[in-house]
Amino acid sequence: MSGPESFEEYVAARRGALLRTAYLLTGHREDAEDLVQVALVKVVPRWGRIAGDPEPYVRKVLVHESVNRWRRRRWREVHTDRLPEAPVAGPGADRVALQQALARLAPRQRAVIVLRYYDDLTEAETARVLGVAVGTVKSQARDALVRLRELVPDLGHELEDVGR
Amino acid sequence: MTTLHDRLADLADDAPPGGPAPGLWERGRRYHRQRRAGTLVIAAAVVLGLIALGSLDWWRARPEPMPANGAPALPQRIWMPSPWLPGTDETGPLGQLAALQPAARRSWTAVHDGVAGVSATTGEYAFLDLPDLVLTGLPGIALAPDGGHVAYWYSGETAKSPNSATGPVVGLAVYDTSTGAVVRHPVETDHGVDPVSLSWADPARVVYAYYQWAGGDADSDMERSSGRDPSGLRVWAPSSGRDDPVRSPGGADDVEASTAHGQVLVGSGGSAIVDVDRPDHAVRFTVPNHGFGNTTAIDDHGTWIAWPHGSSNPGPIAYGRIVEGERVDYQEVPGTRRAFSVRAWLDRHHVAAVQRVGGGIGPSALFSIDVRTGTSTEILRYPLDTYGTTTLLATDLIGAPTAERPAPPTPLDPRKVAGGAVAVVLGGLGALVLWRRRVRA
Repeated sequence: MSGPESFEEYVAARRGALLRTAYLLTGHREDAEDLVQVALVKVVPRWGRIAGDPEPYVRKVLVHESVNRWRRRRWREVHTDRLPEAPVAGPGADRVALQQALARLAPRQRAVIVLRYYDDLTEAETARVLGVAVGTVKSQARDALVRLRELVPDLGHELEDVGR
Repeated sequence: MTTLHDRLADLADDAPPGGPAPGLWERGRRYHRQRRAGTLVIAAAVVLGLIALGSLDWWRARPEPMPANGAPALPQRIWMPSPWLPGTDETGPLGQLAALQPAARRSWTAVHDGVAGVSATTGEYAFLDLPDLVLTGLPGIALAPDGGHVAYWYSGETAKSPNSATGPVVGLAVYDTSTGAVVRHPVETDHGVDPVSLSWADPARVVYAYYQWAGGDADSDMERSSGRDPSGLRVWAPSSGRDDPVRSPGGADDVEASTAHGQVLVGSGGSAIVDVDRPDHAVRFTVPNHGFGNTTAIDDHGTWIAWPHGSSNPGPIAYGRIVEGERVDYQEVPGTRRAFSVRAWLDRHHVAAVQRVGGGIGPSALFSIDVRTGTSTEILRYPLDTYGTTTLLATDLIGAPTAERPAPPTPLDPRKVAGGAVAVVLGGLGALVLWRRRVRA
């Protein structure tokens, strides 16, 4: 079965997971919804060929679309070296700090972090999704983790294992 | 212990909820159709652009419909050929020629001197692919009076250090305009030779002369630019290979005109008419107020001479009878004050001479001029700004009726065509990328 039915089934089953990944990539709920919608629309023309195992291709489109959007929007954004004031304490403070730190990573670094440490892809799988060499994934991950340690100091001890 | 995965998962809990999203399939199909339609339109535009470019290239390069092979004739107009005109290696021999027109010839990476032939029977143009051709100025090439052969100097290997800047010239050759066959006549030379004369004594024999260069690339500047050991005037028959010296009065070796019947005018200013078969019977005379070389004509019998008179060029045409041992008693042709050269005697009372059309600053043309009255009739028009000096005509055809021939094709610069094609394809690819980005999923 490779028609609309299997597509609808896949969307119903996986849209939630894709939205979580997209949210980590974009940092915004609306952007995440739009990103997932666009990614799913874009895979429809190739659905006949990927219906057997759509996940890798869908993920690839999702990440590429995210990186491309960041490039297109970059010129509209105002860059600053100072982060907005983070909540000092409370149950949401950790989330906000991590979210702001992710937002300050380069889009490919952010994608590597999300794919490797949230979606639990291997380095090789991550490289395939991003269309880069495994060595590039390693270096991007290393740089991203260093940056995260700087931006979220309390992440330091949590990153000691993954950073090695 | 909390891990990075846990922290990311915790953050991802803020993501919107999942669930079905109706309409995505149809949206995807619509997106696909839009992208495909745009792609097809752009691809069609690229193909149309390439077809238009190819058509323009073909249109510019297409040969005009040529008349069926008719009677040999001079065209009414000589055109400066496009540097991108094909050569005879591509088109095949042109057959009997009416004219030779030296012109720049281009390749993708270089420009060099070439010689275009003009068919006497169709008017078709093509560059002559003459093996090892060396164009050394006026004596560099000669068209037989009947247009059937072209004589030229060729380059090759020398016995010692070559005089590379001059070719080096190591012999003369004759190209058959009907078969494309080339007969070579090598000369023994250490460094190459400096051609002095190359002309047709008659439709079967070439008269020529040269000096040996005193030095080659490995020698001093003085030796490289000095000539020695003149060959003297010689006559060569390509069909038999026979080559003989021609004794001329005072050893004169600069051929200025030919009757095309075995007699040549030698000596600057016209000092003697030499019959190549009876050199002992040379007729010596002097030409008064003879200005520039290679502008004089003698009649078929070697008894009448005509030339632009005076020390400036253009000038009036003078003519007179040649009498052994005497200065030519000449008369000026009435109304001819702007003649560049006299090319031939057409009959007892008419010469073919090059003058400006209309007498002002305009194109030059070959006119038939009645020496008694100065009455002129245009025979053919030369390319602009050439004054007829570079065009060589088959002199046997000058007296015959001319024919209206089409202009040669003007092919586009293939580098520009290729550049245009690349630009069209790149433009198409650019448009494709933009379009595919603009289509909203």
